[in-house]
Amino acid sequence: MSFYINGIGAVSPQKSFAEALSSKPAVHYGNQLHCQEPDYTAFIDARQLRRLSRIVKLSIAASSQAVQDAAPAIIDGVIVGTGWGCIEDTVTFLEKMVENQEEALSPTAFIHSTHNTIAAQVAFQLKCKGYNTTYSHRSISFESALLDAALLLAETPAQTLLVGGVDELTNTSFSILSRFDLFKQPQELGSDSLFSLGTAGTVAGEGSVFFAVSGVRTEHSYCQVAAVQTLSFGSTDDAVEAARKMLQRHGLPAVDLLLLGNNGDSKEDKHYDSFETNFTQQGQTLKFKHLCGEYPTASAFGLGLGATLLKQNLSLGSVPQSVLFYNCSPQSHQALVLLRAC
Amino acid sequence: MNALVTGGGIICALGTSEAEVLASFRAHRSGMNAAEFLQTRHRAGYVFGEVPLSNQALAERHHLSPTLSRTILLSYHAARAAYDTIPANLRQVSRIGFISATSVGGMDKTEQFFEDYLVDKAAGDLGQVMHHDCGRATDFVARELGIKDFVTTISTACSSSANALMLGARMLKAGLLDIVIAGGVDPLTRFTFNGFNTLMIVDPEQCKPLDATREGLNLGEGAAYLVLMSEQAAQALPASVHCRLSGYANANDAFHQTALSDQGEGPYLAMQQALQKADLQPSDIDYINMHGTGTRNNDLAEGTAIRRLFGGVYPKLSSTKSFTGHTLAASGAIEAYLSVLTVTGGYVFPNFSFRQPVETLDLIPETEFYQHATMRHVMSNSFGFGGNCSSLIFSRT
Amino acid sequence: MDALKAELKSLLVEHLNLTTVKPEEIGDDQPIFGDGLGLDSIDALEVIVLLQQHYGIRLTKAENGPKVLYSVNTIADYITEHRK
Repeated sequence: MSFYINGIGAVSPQKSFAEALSSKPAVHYGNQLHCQEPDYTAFIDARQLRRLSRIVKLSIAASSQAVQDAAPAIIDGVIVGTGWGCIEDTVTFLEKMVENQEEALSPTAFIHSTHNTIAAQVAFQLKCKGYNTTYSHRSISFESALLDAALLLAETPAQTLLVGGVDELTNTSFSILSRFDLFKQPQELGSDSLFSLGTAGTVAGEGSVFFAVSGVRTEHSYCQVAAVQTLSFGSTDDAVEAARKMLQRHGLPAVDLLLLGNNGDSKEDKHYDSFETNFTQQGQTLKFKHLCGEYPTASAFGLGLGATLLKQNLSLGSVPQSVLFYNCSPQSHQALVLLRAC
Repeated sequence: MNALVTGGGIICALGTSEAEVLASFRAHRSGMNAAEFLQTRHRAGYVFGEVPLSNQALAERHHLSPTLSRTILLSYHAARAAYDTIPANLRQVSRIGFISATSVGGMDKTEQFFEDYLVDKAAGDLGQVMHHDCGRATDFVARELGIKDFVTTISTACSSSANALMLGARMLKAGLLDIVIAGGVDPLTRFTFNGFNTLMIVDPEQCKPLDATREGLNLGEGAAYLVLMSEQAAQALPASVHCRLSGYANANDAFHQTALSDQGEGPYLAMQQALQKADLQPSDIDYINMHGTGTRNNDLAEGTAIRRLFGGVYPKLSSTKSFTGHTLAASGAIEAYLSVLTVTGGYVFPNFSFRQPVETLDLIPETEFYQHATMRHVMSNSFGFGGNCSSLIFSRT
Repeated sequence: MDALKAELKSLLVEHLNLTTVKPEEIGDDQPIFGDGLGLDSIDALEVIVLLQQHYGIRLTKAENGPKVLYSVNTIADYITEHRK
């Protein structure tokens, strides 16, 4: 069930993974981290651009970068994970529907409101008629997509799939999520101090990260994805046990780097702390959500970071050969991904 | 190795159980009526395939809170029925997954929330909007059933639950699970009804799939789940294996966000690859439960793809959406459920009405419900927005 | 009539977000769908909504679209004829 990451593309609050891993990553002030968006005309025909919503533009840019990076002969399928889907278009249509009392509504927002619009538009750009699907399952939306890719590549290794994790942060989504007390007060922080406050709440983020993955290693390969596993409704101890078994299956006594999805919320970070303690990690630990913010598919950003580390050997002291990624939404889902240098 | 179908659960406008659904077909009674529960201001002018139970009634049946989203209530109703077909001893020793599908999640609650929220950003019941995301209903139902070995949600518009069944079969094949409950749900919402209406593809009257005079679709709602088992897990069963999910494929039309290409390229690829997967020829298919929404575009594209693939020698075919309405993310699973009944019981499901074939296609759907002795292989099509096209094939064991 | 046509052109550019076209570049007789302005069936639906919002005119059947929505001239004629 292992496969290779052969290309990565991202539009995120960081300019690049290299910048994110440098000593000077982009610092965002306040409690929202928005993407640094590229000039889309480099990726999308101006005539088509007019109708595409932001989340689709983010994704066409990120997926195009991943394709360029991996330079495969063709893309055989597109799999997207998105927790929130196309919120901007959903809200546009919903607002008009309520305000106009179901009269004189225009179709464009509606037809782009479905979750599969992202994968559909990416496939449309590439004229890719192959496998195409979309997962929307909260914090494991992206991991579900990754698992699907692993299954497809186990059956037919010699193909390249695009797998993406995408979510957008809009004024409306932030305004509603804020009312659930999810975020820190904006005056508290620059994003670089996220883990030092020890208070409740996190920072909101967004991003679109795509991976070109294949069962075949190339000279471009970043790393091997050795294992992907999601756990539902389990405890941190269950995740620790699953992680130990995962390492055992791959003949690893330990990993060089533990990549953790801490989001700076004291209520949630204690689960990561408990995982870290019980997993008895010997090597380094790295956190990433101060770089991208918290969102359902933030793990795609984390994985992009881990894969970049394994490829570029931007060593944190020693060169990592293996990375274990752990992300969770307490009381519901946990995810483990094992990356190995190749 | 094929995934075996050993049970299921269904709820739609035709009834709240398999027996009620079959009784509706037997009486040639469609589920399309004036809406009783959907609070759209257009309800007087249109027919809907509404499940004939209020949220309150659905909740009471299952001792759940009536404030839950209709998505959860419908999903729970069908998934519970499916889960209950698994013998208790098998539940204990098996790795069980729940793969659901929805296109709008808890939109029925979100649209209520927005009525208040748009007036005042601090107003609106958070207990409503908390149901919004697609995974919410899946998680709720999985927890209630005690399923935790694998849980996820697919959202590919109208093909969603066909893809959920497909993933279930693939996970069994890969040996990751022993049993999967897979399917999908969508409630009627003002959001989807008004959305389809802006596209001018809703027929205010009963829809007429495959008919030259068709003018659009009717929306419906419901949920259905099938129990899929690995051959090994099913060995422990007495004799209740219904059929095999022998073929499946997913392709993309890559043509347009909402319309299919004239030649039906995506549908053609999905059907052709599903046949390949099942190692079958077109002539092996005894019946096709078509996607058949009743829109001018879908039926022409799907019909053209069928003509290309089957070369003018058509199996029996029909669109049951003329009875259930288009239940969006649930339609793939509802029609898969009916297709399983075709294989196991020989039931041929009809179009509700049919007068005049599309000139270029000469596809004549079945118009009467009856039992036919040998139905070995049945194909079920689900296509949708975003060019997402999936086909499933169910075969006798 | 000319004022109506000019207004229509501006509305089309604004409503359909035609960032690469200026209103005055649209010819009165130029076909606006297909190869003309490069608009498609979704734009046609948007134009139908626009006519409803701005002129209170309802095109009830999509099939009437191609004839009425052929060019700025045909739309203007239809509006003049049906405006209350």
